[in-house]
Amino acid sequence: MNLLVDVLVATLVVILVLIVIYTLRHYLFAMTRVFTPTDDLYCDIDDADWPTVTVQIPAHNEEAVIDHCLDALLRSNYPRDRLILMPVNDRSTDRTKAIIDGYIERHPGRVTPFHREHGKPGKAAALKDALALVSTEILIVFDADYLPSRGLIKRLVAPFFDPEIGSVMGRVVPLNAGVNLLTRLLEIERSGGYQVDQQARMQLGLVPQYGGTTGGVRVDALRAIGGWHDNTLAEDTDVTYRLLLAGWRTAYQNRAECYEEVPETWRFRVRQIKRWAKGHNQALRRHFWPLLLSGHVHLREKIDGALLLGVYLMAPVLVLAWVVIVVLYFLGRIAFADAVLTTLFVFAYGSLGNFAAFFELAAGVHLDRRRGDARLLPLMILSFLVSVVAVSGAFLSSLRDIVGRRELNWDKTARFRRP
Amino acid sequence: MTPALSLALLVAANLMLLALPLLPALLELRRRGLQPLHIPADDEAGIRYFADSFRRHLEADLGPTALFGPGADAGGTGIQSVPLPAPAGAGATIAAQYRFASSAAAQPYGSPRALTSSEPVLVGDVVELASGSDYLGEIYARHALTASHGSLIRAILCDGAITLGTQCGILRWAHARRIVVGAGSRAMGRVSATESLHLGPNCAFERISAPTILIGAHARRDAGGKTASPGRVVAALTRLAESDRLRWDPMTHRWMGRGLLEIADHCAIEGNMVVHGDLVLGSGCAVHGSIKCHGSIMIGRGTTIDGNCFALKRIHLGADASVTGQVSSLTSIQIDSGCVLGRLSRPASTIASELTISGDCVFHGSLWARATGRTFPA
Repeated sequence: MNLLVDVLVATLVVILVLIVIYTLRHYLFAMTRVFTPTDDLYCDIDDADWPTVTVQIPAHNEEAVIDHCLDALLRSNYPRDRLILMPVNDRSTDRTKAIIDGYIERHPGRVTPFHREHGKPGKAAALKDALALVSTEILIVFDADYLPSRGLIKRLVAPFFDPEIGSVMGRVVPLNAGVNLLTRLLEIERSGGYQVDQQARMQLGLVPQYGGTTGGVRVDALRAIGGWHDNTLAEDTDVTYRLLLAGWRTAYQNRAECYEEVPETWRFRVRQIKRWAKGHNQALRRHFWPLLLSGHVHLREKIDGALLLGVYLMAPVLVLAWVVIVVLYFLGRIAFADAVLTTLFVFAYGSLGNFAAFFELAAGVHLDRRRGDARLLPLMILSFLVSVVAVSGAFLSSLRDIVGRRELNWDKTARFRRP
Repeated sequence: MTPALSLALLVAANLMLLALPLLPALLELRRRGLQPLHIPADDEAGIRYFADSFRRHLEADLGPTALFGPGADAGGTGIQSVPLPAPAGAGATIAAQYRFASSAAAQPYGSPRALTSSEPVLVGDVVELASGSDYLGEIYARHALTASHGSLIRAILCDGAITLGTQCGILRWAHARRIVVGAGSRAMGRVSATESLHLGPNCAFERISAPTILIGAHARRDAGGKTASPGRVVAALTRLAESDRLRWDPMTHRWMGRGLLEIADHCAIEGNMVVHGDLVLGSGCAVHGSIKCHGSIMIGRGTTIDGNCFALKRIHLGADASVTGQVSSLTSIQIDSGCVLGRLSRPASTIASELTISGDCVFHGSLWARATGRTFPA
């Protein structure tokens, strides 16, 4: 019995140390964003000899949104002779193919489609096949529901003049933020995630993350690391770490903003979180040790990269902490007051240290000057609890997949716009 | 009070306490018509944004052909000729000589849409501001604007040439085909030209752009196009030159340096270079590739870089150095006399918080000093 108690107490101590580390990390991010200037080497590049770019738009049954995205891209101010728009029609069974073909007729020479009829399902698999058709220096990817602004491609391409940059990530802004409580909470979450978290990591020389959309990669670098892997649910996180391990850095561009559509129902939100969590934990398994053992990745990047890999592990860890506290209490080994205090301390992770946590989110809405959103912050506890349940569920599901040697299934995010 | 009532009150009080922080949130949720976070159109950040907006306002007020069409003159505008008023409340007088088409009269007009200052917009064919003039409204000059010594202008759009004398000032923006800014002037805000821009010595600037930017009293337009002369190279940096501070990374196909990396004079470097420290490039070197430095970069006299140059700290370009691509620093860039940045066929941006240019230099593209930009005589 004593051994069990010792193990439980040790587990709790480790968890609390992790919580403290994440709390400090995110305090650092929020403070950095609020109190330090955001000078950037690339965002003011106006005049340049712009490189050739392919913009790919992976689209699986995207008839509701694909035309909006293509219209927006056709308005881009990027030099026409250096820009290839390549919708990647991934086995669509709706009108997506017909819509894309309509653009080819109306805009001859500007749209070069890739109609993928067969093959493994999923965005990563589609991108992997489409990469073979890319002959430009830079590859930019937008999801089909995104609405790139006129100058966005230049902003995303500018960092690639830096020979150290292998991938670039822009900022995502919800277009349907005002629909309901969920979309408003997601707007706050995006604000904290991009305006604070990603930008702070960029400023501090840590590991900004390529997010798979509103971002780009250097094609030579991507090919050198083996291209896209189609056996992952988070090809973006996977590429971020493979590039980092190969000596390339990711640049985050806060002013390269793009509208997206966020889920409008909790059901689809939970599915989205689960997909992200499973993909991210897959990247954790693949890249954690190679990152820590890498000979040329800077120590601060190793620490931040490892912590970033672990963000989706913290939810099941948090649940584990609650269970341990309850067990210890019923074993009579800790006083009730201690249990309450420890519980509160564990909860502090949710309110102070998490990616979607209050302090960082408050900094985000402050920087975005969305004072109304600040009033919604107490309701973020709802989103937090849903995330803990969804991410923990995804963790257990991943364990079942590993034990059962099942392949991961791609789960497409639903669209809420009407065609 | 019964125990049940006490309990109910206790529960109610606790629930109220719990709900209290949520009240602002619940009120906020009742708000309708919420717009998504504004994403600025990228034109707003463009150097010609103000000039283009001003032109649209003028066209909306006066009609596009009246001002900008071929053969347009005062007769078609419908603007009544009136004397140029003194700026309201400024207490200063404007001593301006002005003409509009064949008429020798100023053509001010006011439109709330067009105005961003309290002053009327000054419209003229050829606008001449006498020495010491201040004009704090916008100016449109169809053919030319000339301002003599000590003039101060808020904003100018000109389809011809803008010529500012010594000690003049542009406060917000200017756009023309050609711009000449005299010594000791201040070209603040966004100043752009579609052909050329000449900034004299001892000038201050923030953001300037033109296919050709000449800095200094004797800068020459044909100074560009320098390339490395193979005959000058006495030593080549090859993979054999690897040391504990420099190695060739086969994964990323670039040179990786660390610490203080000093490259000898007249060295040729093929490939990109990333340095985790400071970099000193000797004189007469030829770099065919881009440089990224986590410290500062010192570029020697006459060194040419066919690529881009990024540094987290200071960049110093020695005399007669040349860079074909972007030059960007988080802190400061000092550029010595005879440097050429960008090419006419390959415009480039030079960006830093503090930009200091000594002597005569040529730029093709844009210069952006986030805090201060200064030109000095050689």
